[in-house]
Amino acid sequence: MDHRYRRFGRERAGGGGVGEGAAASMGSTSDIRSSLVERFERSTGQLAGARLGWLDALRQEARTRFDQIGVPGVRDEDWKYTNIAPALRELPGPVLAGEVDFASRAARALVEGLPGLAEPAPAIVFVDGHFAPGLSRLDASVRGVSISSLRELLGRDPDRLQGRLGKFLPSAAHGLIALNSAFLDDGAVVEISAGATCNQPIHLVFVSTRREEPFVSQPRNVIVAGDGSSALVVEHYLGEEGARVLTNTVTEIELGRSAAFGHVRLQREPAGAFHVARVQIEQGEGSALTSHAFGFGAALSRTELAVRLGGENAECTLHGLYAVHGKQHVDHHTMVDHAAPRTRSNQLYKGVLDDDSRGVFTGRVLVRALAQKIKAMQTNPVLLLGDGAIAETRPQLEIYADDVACNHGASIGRINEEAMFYLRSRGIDPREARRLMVYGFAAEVVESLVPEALRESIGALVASHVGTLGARGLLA
Amino acid sequence: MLLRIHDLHAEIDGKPILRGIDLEVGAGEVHAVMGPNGSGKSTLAQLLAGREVYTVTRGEVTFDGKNLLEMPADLRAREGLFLSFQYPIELPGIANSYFLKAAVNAVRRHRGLSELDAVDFLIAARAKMKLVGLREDFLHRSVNEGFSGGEKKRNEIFQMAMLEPRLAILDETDSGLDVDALRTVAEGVNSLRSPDRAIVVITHYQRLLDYIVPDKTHVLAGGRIVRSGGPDLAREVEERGYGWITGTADSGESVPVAAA
Repeated sequence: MDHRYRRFGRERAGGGGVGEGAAASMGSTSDIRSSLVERFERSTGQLAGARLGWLDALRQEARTRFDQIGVPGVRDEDWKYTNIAPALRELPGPVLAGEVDFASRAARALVEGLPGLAEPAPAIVFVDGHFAPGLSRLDASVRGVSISSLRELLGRDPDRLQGRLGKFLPSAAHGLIALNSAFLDDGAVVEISAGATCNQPIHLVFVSTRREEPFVSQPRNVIVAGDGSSALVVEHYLGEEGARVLTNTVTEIELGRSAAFGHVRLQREPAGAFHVARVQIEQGEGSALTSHAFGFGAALSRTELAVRLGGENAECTLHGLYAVHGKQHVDHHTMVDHAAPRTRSNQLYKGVLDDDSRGVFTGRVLVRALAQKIKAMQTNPVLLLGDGAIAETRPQLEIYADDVACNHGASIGRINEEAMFYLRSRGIDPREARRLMVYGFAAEVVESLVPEALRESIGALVASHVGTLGARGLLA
Repeated sequence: MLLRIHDLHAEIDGKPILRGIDLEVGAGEVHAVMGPNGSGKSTLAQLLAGREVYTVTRGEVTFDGKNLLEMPADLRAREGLFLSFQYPIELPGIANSYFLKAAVNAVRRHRGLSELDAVDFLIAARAKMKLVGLREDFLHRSVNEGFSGGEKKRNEIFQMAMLEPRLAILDETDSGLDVDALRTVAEGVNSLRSPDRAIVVITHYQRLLDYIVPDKTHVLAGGRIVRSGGPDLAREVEERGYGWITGTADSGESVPVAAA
């Protein structure tokens, strides 16, 4: 069943036939599809904005879509290297708001320990997918910025979401996006008025707790940055040790003309968790996006970042760092659509893979025929620490315009022994030397973070996380 | 005797490079080791610092009476051995200050001294940087990354000044330096001469030895020290080249064969 490639300088094919695996999973996939929907039935009566016609239509359409395509499998070219079947082996179901322990000490402790939250920045917190007002900090009002729970907003002022929810989201991309839409209920809504400048990061926090049964948490977030606005949103995904959660989250972001927007994603889910995410970004003319995606946690994670550069001179910088160990599987998938002339994209995704972990990076760049004079760069350096670690890197460039500058590169390497010797020749022990090397490799991704306070707190987090990787397997 | 090398033989990938080195360096002394390309100079330097790619096939090395060859590279450094690299390594993403503070404190802990905190470290670093003409902003840059050849060599001597070794081996510290940089680096080294510190200067050319005047000079050829003398030997090599000495070494080529 395992038909992946191991790449380390050269390519080596693993065993197993694709056809066989596909045939075997056909029947079970369709069973999973219907039983998963069944699990959700009990929540349908309680979903947010149940009486809204437009929302009902959106959900119905997504539901139909899900019934058609089901959950993605390794037969799908886009999911060839990431098999999410283990996340559904013990079928998870939704958690109702009434079943959440908002007073959970574990949840509180996790929220309080978050990087960057020490300063009085606004934060909206969700526990097991549901808005937790007691843990949130929405009184830290920032002029021109409105932060609400999706569920609340659908009750209070649904017009603000009509036509926006799902606006740019291709619901057919894969079944889990459809599943999110079909049963969407809560999440964060951040609206930044035109011209507003928010200097403090806005934190969206999603905490999963340990529950009796495995469960699904499906945050649905909407961020709208008005023309000429400037803001930074940090999404945190984390949970109590032992939480058996499948997080299936969708974040829709719309950037107005000349908006400057920073997006940080810290995926640090606990060891038993599964994480599937789609961040869908639509960029207006002259807007600038800086994204930092960190993939550290979960048994298996898949993070999709789809950016459409829809207006002239829009640009995006996508930085990512995935660092995993043990048998973790991490998959980052970027899609940049150059849909307008003079748009620019610059991607740097770095991977650190220890033990027997697997890291997948797919970077798709589409340059449409009318998108002349664009620039697109992409690099994916991976550092292999573990002997059993496997790295996959797949650049996919699809170019229909002729006046373009596109570049991509990837490298897979191990710790440089000469550099190790240099560090050790200065008295630094092998463990610390290795830690420094791994951090030095990862640091580039953090360096571009602003403001400084956030860079420092996330830098410290990255240092301590990769430090545990660097030290592994060293007995000296 | 601080450093004692006796009958040292070493090879890499089965190919012999050092073929019986004998060398003794006492505290307070400065020795120059000269030799043509491929004579084994850099191998000797790297091997003494603990590079693991070389295999010692025979002989022994003691450092202050302890068996040096048994120690891993980092322990040798903490014991007080320092190698100034011919080609200092670039460490992207690792700030010079962080790297050096980690090194200094590793050495200090080993010597039973208290660790330097950020402020004390900065004060010490500032003073030593002046010694080699490095600007303070070098502390905040990644180790050697984007440094010119001269800056890298100054950085090596700066590190030496911070680590206060008992034995410093300078491997081709003069290569790639213009006259001004050479003088600055040499002055830095000279200021570190002390009665309890030994320095081994490895060089191809004599010009560095105009500035760092050695107590003893050795000529290495074919993996052995073929001639030893005073400072005059270096000048003689400069005038006459290596041929007149290595000729001796060539005629001795049968020695390692006989030894094998």
